[in-house]
Amino acid sequence: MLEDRLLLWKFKHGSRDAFRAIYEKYAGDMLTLAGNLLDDKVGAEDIVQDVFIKLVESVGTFRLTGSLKSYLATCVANRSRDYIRKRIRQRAAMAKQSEKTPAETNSTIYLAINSEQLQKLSNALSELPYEQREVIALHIHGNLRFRQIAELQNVSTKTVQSRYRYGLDKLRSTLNGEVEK
Amino acid sequence: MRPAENIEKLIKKLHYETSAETHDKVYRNVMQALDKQLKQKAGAAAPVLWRIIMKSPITKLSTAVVVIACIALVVSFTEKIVTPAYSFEQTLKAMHDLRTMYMVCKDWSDEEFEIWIKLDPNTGIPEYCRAYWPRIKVLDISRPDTSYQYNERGNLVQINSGKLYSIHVAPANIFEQLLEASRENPDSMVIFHEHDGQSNKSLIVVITRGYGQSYKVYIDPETKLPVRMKGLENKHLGAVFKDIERIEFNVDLPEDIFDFEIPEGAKIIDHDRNAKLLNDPQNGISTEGMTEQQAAETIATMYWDALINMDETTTQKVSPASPKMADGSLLTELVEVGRLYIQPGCGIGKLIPCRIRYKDGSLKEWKLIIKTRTIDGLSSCVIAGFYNSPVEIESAK
Repeated sequence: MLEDRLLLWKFKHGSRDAFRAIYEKYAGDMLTLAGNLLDDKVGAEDIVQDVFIKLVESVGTFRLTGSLKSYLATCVANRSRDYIRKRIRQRAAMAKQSEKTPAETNSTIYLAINSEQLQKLSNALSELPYEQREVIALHIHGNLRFRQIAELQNVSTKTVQSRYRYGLDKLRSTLNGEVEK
Repeated sequence: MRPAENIEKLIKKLHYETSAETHDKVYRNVMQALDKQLKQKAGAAAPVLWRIIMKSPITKLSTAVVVIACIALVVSFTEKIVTPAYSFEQTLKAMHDLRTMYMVCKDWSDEEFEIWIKLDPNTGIPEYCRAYWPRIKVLDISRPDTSYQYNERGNLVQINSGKLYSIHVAPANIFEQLLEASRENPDSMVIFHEHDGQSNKSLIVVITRGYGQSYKVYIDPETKLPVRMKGLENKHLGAVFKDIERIEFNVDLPEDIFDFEIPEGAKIIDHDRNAKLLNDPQNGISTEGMTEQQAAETIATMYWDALINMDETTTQKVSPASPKMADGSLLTELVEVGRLYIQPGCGIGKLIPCRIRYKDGSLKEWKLIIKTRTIDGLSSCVIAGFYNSPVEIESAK
């Protein structure tokens, strides 16, 4: 954590290298997080790009209170929600079109380990209600605590814990008990 | 393993990647945004006052009047204008009023390091330091209570009592020494002005020589603070600072920058070894019935004689933390022991200067740190080490 604060401090003092180090350290994790939050995966790179550009623009005024990874993960979650809302509106406007938007087939991100089981899990995660998916992705890939997620979702910690548990149960049942073996 | 853990483990494996092309594109866009932001920041730091003034016709007129008046004043008083004289003391004084410093430096083996320093507001002496050598991955955290030296590659931590003096020899200390040398020999300091390409302004340049060290220091004529430093010569081991490539003063430092948490699995070496050795009643000498000066002279003489005569038992007893400060076979005699004095910033003990003749004919002054103790009601003293590097008084023949 201190290492991140030092990198941010150096970045605030004009170090390009420090920002590059932050980007290289977290861009991959944030892409994974965005990929798991979005069901169509298409906007993941744009979200990551926007989050880092926002960090660049706000660095003069921004004060880090927790960990940098949690901060970036929260930004990715907020932008993912905005992205999904926007897409729902677009879908509504194109109500006559088929359920799947053409963009869904144009995703440029892919699973690093492409096994049948992981592909199935990824699809199952995409099918979860967004709140449950968000809790699982932020907790597992964003390293956010349930309390932090509760603040973000504006619900109680208990609700977040329930969403997490229900989400995992659904994933397990979707995978037909494959992982329990 | 519980099923919940299994599924969590599996979810952890859901890592997404993108093509190298897309990654490069995103990276380029982000870095472009960064460059734009840095440019804007640089621009904002130097507001175009002239344009602001000239926006209003009234200010245009009044500015013109002021400019004419200024020119007239300059013309009439040209002969009376004298460039204020600069002296190196001004820089030292300015450095004593600092709270914090951040520097990007090189040591004498040309190894780059960064250092963050928090100074004591009353004395101007570094209280807390954090130095990091990125290439060799070594971190030094120096605090008044405990200091840590962490070698990332070997995952080794050395814990010491008190400050790490190697990184506490901050520029102000070097400048003080060099100023002292210039007082003894006024020719050892040269001051002139030079146009600096980096900042595009005229800087004061001070070239200092003394005690086997030489530095070229670039000074901001307005603040009198150094902006860069270049080490030209150093005959001694021990001095850390060679070049200062970047320096910032009174910056707000991250809160816990001087904290250190021992990494998991790290091997702790010599844990408080020095403190234990220095507090061991078996080490050092009794000072009962002696004055502080007498005790310091006695232990210093014992140490140098033992070192020259290769008497390791005595060197170990009187100077347990650093029994072999120099190669005894290169020394001939202890010439003089000076007066005990307090060195600000040296919390372990007082210093006693010792002049040693070397076999090559040179004469060097060492400053031994004398720690006095009272153990079980008995007073004694021990040599805790040496302060800074030895100073050459006479060169080799």
